[in-house]
Amino acid sequence: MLLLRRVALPLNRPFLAGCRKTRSFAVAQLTLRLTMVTTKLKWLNLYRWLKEYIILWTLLGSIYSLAGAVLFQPIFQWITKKEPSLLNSWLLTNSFVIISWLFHSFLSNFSFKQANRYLVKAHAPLSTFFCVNELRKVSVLAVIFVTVITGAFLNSHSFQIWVILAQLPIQVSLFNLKPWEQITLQRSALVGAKELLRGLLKVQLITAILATILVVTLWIVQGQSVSLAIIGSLASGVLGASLMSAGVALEGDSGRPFLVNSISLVSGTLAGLLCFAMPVSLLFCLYLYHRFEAVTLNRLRSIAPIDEDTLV
Amino acid sequence: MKTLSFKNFKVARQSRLFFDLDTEQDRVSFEPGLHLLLAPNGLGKSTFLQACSGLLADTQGDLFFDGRTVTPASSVFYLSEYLTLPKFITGEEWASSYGEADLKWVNELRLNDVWKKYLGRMSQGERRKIMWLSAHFSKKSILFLDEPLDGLDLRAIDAARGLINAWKAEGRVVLLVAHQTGEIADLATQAWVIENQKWADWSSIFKTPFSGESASEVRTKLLGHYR
Repeated sequence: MLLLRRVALPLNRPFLAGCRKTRSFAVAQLTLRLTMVTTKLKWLNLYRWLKEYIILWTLLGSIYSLAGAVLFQPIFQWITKKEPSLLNSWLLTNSFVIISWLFHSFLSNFSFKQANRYLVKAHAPLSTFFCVNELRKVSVLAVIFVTVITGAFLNSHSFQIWVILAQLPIQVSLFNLKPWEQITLQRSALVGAKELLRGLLKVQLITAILATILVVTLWIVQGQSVSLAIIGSLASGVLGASLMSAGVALEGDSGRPFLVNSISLVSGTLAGLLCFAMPVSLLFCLYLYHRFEAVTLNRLRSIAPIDEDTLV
Repeated sequence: MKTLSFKNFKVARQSRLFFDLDTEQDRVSFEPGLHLLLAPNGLGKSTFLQACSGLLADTQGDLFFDGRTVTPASSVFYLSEYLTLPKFITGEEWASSYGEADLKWVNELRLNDVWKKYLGRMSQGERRKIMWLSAHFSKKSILFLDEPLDGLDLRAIDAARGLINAWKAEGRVVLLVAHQTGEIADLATQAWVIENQKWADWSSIFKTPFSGESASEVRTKLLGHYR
């Protein structure tokens, strides 16, 4: 309390002249003072952050999200048999990204403790670490749960929508990509980008395949007719979407959240629907993914400044 | 003897040239042992280590070890001053992924209790100790350590001294950047200072061997050199 009085009271001396210097009064004054200072600094930080990034983020964000909305318009029309407005298409596209961000923000700090024998014995590559770190998060289970429950409402006329829904897990993981660039750089600067893409792909494949098995089981339990051909198309669509949504993860100003989410969603959806309609297109997606790995091999060097301690 | 040498090695960041090194011209090479890199902030110590580790695309020229071109992925371990680590990976998993775990050093660094804990639940000092272990387990011949003593307590520093001695015995080249060098200065094989965008060894600048210098002499001489 002596410390409080020594710090708080001199700060407010003009106001305190003639006042009774009680304990609660000093605490209240100090709290008020600290709140004012903190608020001022927060606004100052926000203003400077906006000044620094507004052009980059607004411009690129507008381009990517509008491009996504334009590309999604015919897809939504094909699925719903109605022509949606550009605004509706834009809102739908962005709501998908926002939902992923909510999962990431509120649930990615909680984890499941799992056995570690596999990692310790395997001298695992970075991609496995990325994968295991993601799969231990509560957010992943929640995403699978929500995706499967939403997918259960689809019927035989709208099974193709599953290809879009199944991308929710990778959308959540994409928010972790930027900080992982620093880990990757420090661990394996020269081949790290490839490892990072593979890590993302592993997470997406595991979660999407699990979710697809669960949702198909639910459809069958509900009495919907799910033929082998449909299961084959779904598998092909989900694989194609996974490959392309992971493949472009270092595009979009090299993995910046929200920007890369839009790009990943659009390319994953296009590839997924193409593979759903023509499973042979999966080969083309595999080739493109391989090309993306090669093109982005050196992408991380010099673009990710190592300038703070972070836990991802 | 296995040495780390340079040929037309140019270290730059954002168009600013920090170093221009060539072993034949400048006689700058690093033999096995502990090398302290001493310089004020902003002169490019961290940039130099990052360039040697292959992190910077702007780097030009070649780096050789034992007469062969250095491949960072196979022969270099880089420890950044900033620790970015995954939250839900345990210390054991992370350190063991670099190589075979030696529990003797886990014990020496007093990590037994947190060894199987997530990195996200460790203190900063404990995470730093995990990185010291990673460097040791990696068995890499070249270690670039940037401010590795930050956050370590006295017992951990004692264990770190043991690790440095073990690395010296194994013939590894250790380049270490630290501002508070008093704790490990006596282990140093050589100390280096910056002179005209090149590293120059202590004795060529101050005309006395580094091994004979006390901490206060090092401080006074460095302050005079960089004034």
